[in-house]
Amino acid sequence: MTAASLSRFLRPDQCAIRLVESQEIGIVGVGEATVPHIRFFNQTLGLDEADFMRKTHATFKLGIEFVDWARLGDSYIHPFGEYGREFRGVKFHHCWNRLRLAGDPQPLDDYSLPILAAKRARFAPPSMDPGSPVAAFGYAFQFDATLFAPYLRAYAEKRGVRRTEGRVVDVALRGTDGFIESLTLASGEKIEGDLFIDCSGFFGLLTEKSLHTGYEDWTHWLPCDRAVAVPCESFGPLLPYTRATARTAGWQWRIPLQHRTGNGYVYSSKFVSDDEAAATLMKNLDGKALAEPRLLRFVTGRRKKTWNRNCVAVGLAGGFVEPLESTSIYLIQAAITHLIELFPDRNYDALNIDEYNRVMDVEFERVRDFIVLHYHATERDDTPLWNYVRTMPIPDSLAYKMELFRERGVVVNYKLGLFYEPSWVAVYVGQRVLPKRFDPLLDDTPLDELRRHVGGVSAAALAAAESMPTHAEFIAGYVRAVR
Amino acid sequence: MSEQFDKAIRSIVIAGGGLAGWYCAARLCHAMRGRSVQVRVVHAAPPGSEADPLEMLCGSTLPSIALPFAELGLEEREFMRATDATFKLATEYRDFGAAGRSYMLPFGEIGARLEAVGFHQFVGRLMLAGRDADLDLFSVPALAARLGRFAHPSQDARSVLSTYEYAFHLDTQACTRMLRDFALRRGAVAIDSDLARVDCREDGQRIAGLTLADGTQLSAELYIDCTGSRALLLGQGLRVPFEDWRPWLPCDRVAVARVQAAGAAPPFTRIAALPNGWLMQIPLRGAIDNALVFHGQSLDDASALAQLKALGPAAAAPRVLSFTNGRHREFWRGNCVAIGGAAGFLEPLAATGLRLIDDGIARLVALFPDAGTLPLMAAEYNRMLGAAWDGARDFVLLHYLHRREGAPWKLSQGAEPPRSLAQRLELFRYRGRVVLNDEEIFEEADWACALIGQGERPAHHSILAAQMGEEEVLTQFSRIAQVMQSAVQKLPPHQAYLERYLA
Repeated sequence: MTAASLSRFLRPDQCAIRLVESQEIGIVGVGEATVPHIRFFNQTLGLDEADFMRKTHATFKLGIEFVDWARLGDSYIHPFGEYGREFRGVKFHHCWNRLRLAGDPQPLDDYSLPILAAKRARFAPPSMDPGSPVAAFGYAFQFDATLFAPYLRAYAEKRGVRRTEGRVVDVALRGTDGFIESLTLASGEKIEGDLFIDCSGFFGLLTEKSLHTGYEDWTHWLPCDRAVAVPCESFGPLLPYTRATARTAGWQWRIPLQHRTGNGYVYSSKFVSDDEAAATLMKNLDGKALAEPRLLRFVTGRRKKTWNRNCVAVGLAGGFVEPLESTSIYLIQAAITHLIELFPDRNYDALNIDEYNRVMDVEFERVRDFIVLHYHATERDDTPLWNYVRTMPIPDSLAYKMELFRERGVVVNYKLGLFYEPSWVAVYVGQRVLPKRFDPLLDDTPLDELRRHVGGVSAAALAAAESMPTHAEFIAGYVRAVR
Repeated sequence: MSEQFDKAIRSIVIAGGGLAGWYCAARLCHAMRGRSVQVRVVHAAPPGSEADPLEMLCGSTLPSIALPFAELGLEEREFMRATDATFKLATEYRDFGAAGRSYMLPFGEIGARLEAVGFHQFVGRLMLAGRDADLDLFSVPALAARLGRFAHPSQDARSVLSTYEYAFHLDTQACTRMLRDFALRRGAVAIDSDLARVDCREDGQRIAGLTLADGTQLSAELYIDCTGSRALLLGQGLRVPFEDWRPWLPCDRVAVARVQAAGAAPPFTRIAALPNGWLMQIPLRGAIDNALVFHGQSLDDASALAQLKALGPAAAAPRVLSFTNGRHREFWRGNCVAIGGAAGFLEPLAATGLRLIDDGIARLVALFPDAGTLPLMAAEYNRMLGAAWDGARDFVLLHYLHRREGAPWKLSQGAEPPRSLAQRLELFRYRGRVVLNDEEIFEEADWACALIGQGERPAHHSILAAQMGEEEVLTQFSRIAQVMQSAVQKLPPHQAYLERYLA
């Protein structure tokens, strides 16, 4: 992604870009789910959506379903879109909450078009007309990361990026200031550069192994440290959403692609053995496994400086937050966007680097708080992991946000960073962080009037969802992927 | 839940019946339609005087004002007629940097996106190459303002005439009357008596009640302090500390006079820096409101009034008012929320007066409390509004950093700027980066335009702006300028448009 982006924005005669990768080291992605920002990335590169989807066997994604998170038996969807219209200037979720406190049982999910469409395995792109009932939602993709990488490689190479196959065996640092000077490959080839971008994954070949940047460990908030992944055959209708099912010592993902389904169990090695985790995963597949399960290890947290000296760590080398909200690719994208905006010259002014690290810290921390919310806001005490996260201390920034929602349904908004009000509402409500009080502006509104309003919203959303083609039909027409 | 009904706020007293007070009353009555609540407005000023005379400086507005007015159901033509309003496309700043130089801060896009980087980065690049680009040439509202033209923006997103917004110049006293009528029709109760005493609970955290000059005792569940800079409830009653911004913004007096308009009303506010302060001219229908903001220690009132007099015969007796730039550390404490001048004062160099009132009311409505959530809602309110005020202060202060002559300018430049502004300046000077914070009123284009207009020049430019050859950048620039210029030529004169629109 970095090479493709940089090749899009930097003229080859001004900046030569080389990429070193080794076929011996695989790609971690096992079927990636994304958030709607990916579309902006693709548009910026000028990728044709249908072509991209065809080549990466991609499906559309309207949200993420969370199963068994707050309580066993619970299920909710975090949709990419807003809930219904406001009522007399009062936001929709307050209207819903008012009725909920009065005893009305209808779940919040019923007022979201992307949720209703997702549950029916239907999809159509949002209307460009903002007045249309099918306007206020977005979508992302689920795709095969092992196919996305070569797709971007072809793009980058066409724009002058030189790719070198090989394993880095040595990193030479400048004596004066410890900047990276060159990489030596197993073949003996030496590659020099001004700026080095570390995309070597958790390992942090440059930023950690050579520059010893240091890592801020967030395991006390997010204890999962391993994942076991396996693809399986598709089963049933093609679903336009990702599923995250809570398990004894973590959670299991299910990402439907055109040709197969990606699965994985993210868990804490403190609470379950690798064998047991793999067995749990294999037992809970929709279809026949297509490979042996693969084990991945990680430590949740963030590099102390994602940009250190002349090295910028992008992706897992910069930090890792488990893929519960499909943020891995978003964080790569954010790193690239900020890098391009703050692209250095050979002076490497501290001002520039500090600003980059400041904005990336905010990005990481805002994602982190959102993920921690999913774990901490649970009533589950049936396994040691769930009991731990339920009772653990959480970041103050999150505690403040949760209190405002729990007391009165207020969402703390911000300008920089991922996840806006509808996302927070979806997850608070789905995790049973339910406001104790309603918005006082609604206290005298006759409940029947409010019911008519929300009833109109759910009827319109339902009709719009029913009018959509099935996801499989839409993809077939749009992509015509060769299976 | 029944407990929440017991704690519901059913009575609100707004102290101060000026623009902030009546705007607040109108918005609260509107937000609470269909809800049983008593909204009372205490005039709270000595007979014959206004609750907050400084509010007359709110007449130049920002585009965000259109939405709340529309939500109240105030039709644009009607409220423009009622307030002698004209359209506003920009603010002109003259002599704030190099003498004789002026620039527009327009309401709209500047240039066009040439790459994944702001237009100002390309401007920065040309400047580094020794060419000075006049940003006014790349903005439809700035061009239209210069030519005195106006029309409502096009609804067609492909048209270059859709790239701007507009605000209004309005008569604040007429606006107050309009909002007062609106609020009274919606059930607000006016109490025409002066405020004599504010009673606080012993812990100093809540207002217990108000005593009026005629002896009436008034109590409510929520008090809104709109008493202007006296801040009778929040400041004098609850003793919330005031953050004094005078080391940065030393002007402390303003002379105001309304004169008859000689010609057509320009669709922009004129602001000119002077040795001892600055002059603002707000064009209304048939009149101009002139305000000379000055530094009391370096200019006496008589000289200030003489300067105003030179601009034309005043329609009414000119006045001099004093003010202190700054804000209260909290705007909401216990059962008391301060809005407008009682929250703080920021000289109207960036037309933020009505916007800060508006934000204060909008946040209060969104966070409307009951007795059980007062402290929590107050915390979030203070966080948001504090950031909005401080961001606006930084934006105003930016305008003080470049002029060489005159006491207030030199005094301001002698003080170390707030960290937030220093950081913005540093990053812009380095490479044209605009830092934006949460709750910010001004956007990237506003900051870039003001920074460049003030004479700030980035030392480097973004590498993205170097991906196009200089010739190509110049070609693109002249193409953009031409398209805008020819589009603006077709717009009607502002005055003619106004007369037709309001006929």
